[in-house]
Amino acid sequence: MSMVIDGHVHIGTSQFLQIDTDAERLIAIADAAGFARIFVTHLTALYYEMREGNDCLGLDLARHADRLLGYVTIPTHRLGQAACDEIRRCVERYGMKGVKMYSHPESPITEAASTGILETAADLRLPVLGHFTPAECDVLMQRVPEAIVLMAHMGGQPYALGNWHLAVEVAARHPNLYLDTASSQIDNGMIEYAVEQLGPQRVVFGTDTPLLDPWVQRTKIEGAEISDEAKGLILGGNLQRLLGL
Amino acid sequence: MRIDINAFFGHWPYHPLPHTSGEDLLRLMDRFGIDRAAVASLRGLHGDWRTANAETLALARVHPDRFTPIACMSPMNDGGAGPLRELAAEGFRGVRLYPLLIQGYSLRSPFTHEIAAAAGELNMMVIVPTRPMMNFRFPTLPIPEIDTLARQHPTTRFLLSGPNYLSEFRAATETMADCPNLSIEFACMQGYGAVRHLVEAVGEQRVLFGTGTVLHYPACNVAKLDHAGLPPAQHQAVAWQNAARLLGIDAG
Repeated sequence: MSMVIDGHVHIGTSQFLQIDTDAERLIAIADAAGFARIFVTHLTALYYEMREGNDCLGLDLARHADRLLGYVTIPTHRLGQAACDEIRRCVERYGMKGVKMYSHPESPITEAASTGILETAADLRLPVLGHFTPAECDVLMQRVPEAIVLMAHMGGQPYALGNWHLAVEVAARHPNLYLDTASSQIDNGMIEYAVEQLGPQRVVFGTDTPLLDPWVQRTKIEGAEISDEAKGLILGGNLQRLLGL
Repeated sequence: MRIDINAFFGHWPYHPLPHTSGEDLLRLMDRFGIDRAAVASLRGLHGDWRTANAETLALARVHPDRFTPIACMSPMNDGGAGPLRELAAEGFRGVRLYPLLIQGYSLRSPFTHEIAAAAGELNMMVIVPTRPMMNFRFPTLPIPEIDTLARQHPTTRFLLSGPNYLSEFRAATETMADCPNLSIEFACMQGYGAVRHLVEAVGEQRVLFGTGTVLHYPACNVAKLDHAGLPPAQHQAVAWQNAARLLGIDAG
């Protein structure tokens, strides 16, 4: 099996998520759970100020280049060109490998301002971990089909109403749309269904550590009734391919 | 040893399940090292609870060493203390209630209090799920609602099922602080370190291993327990001893 890469990890502090964690703690968790690399987004950038949070993560990346991969985190697409510039800055300065974006009913990602950001990510071949609903992904992928989007939680988040069936249905229409498995949901059969409908190449392992339990998330893949080859792709092979690791 | 306090067989109206029968459930238990389960038919959530309970009892009688029957009941179809006594006599060790979420009655209804009082007399556990499974499409039962019920029936043993992380975790543990007759199972609780934090908050005697199988993957909750970092005595209490005590079975 290829190395395990956790594609969905948070660092920093959030009152909302009740998280206060640093790189050393995340690496200790990754060691215990058997994850070779963790793909990290900074909570300060997600919930407060973009540049401050991304710079904090950049320092962590420099100290732990062999373990951490970094997402450029964009708190809101309404930042427009500033978000595009931030993506290029963080790639050039810190070598960040992806983009993290969020959608909220207060600022839905389907507003036109998101298009340029997705185009920038596509231009740089950076996957976008998007906390988007399946319906939002459907709209975005029609606008920027060359963007590589990892649908965070594969529909298993409150705004998406836990609808992983719809997530799979939408992903089937868009070849560059992938499903991130991090979720509170452990519905019996959800991984098998995604693999059956999309193929294992389109499913990417994530844990949402330290919000969620990484062992539960890993076991959701390892306990599924799919081939060992499929498990290997989901747990790390797909991100290795997407990131050119 | 592991006793799953939260297991089902049957069908689900919102998507096809890969495992549906009691024998399917048994195979999953064998695959993931679960020795025994407190089981109910999913028919009892949406359909006729009398038929559901008959199915559950039939399964438990085929595998008495593996399944302990849990009833479902609602105010429909003449639910109440009388039928609950009959179920207790048949060997049911607990009853599941789905007020508000699915069955449309209140936790403050006369039916609820009748069942809670009778269950106390019959030494049956009352299971109150806050959600039918860990899927965000379903509404949730406000946890503080259970506080009133548990306080008014202090000799009845209640099991809180279904809370997840953050505010739900806090609401559950705060409610449990006021209600010593309230225990909790963690099938839907996915927060990092959830089992350890639960044990720290309410003590290992009130935390029970549950999976939500066949709605959930059983392996995830086995992993959650086994990686909780509990000392052996606490691990055993959570894995099976508390369930055996609440169900009144000799599983040792």
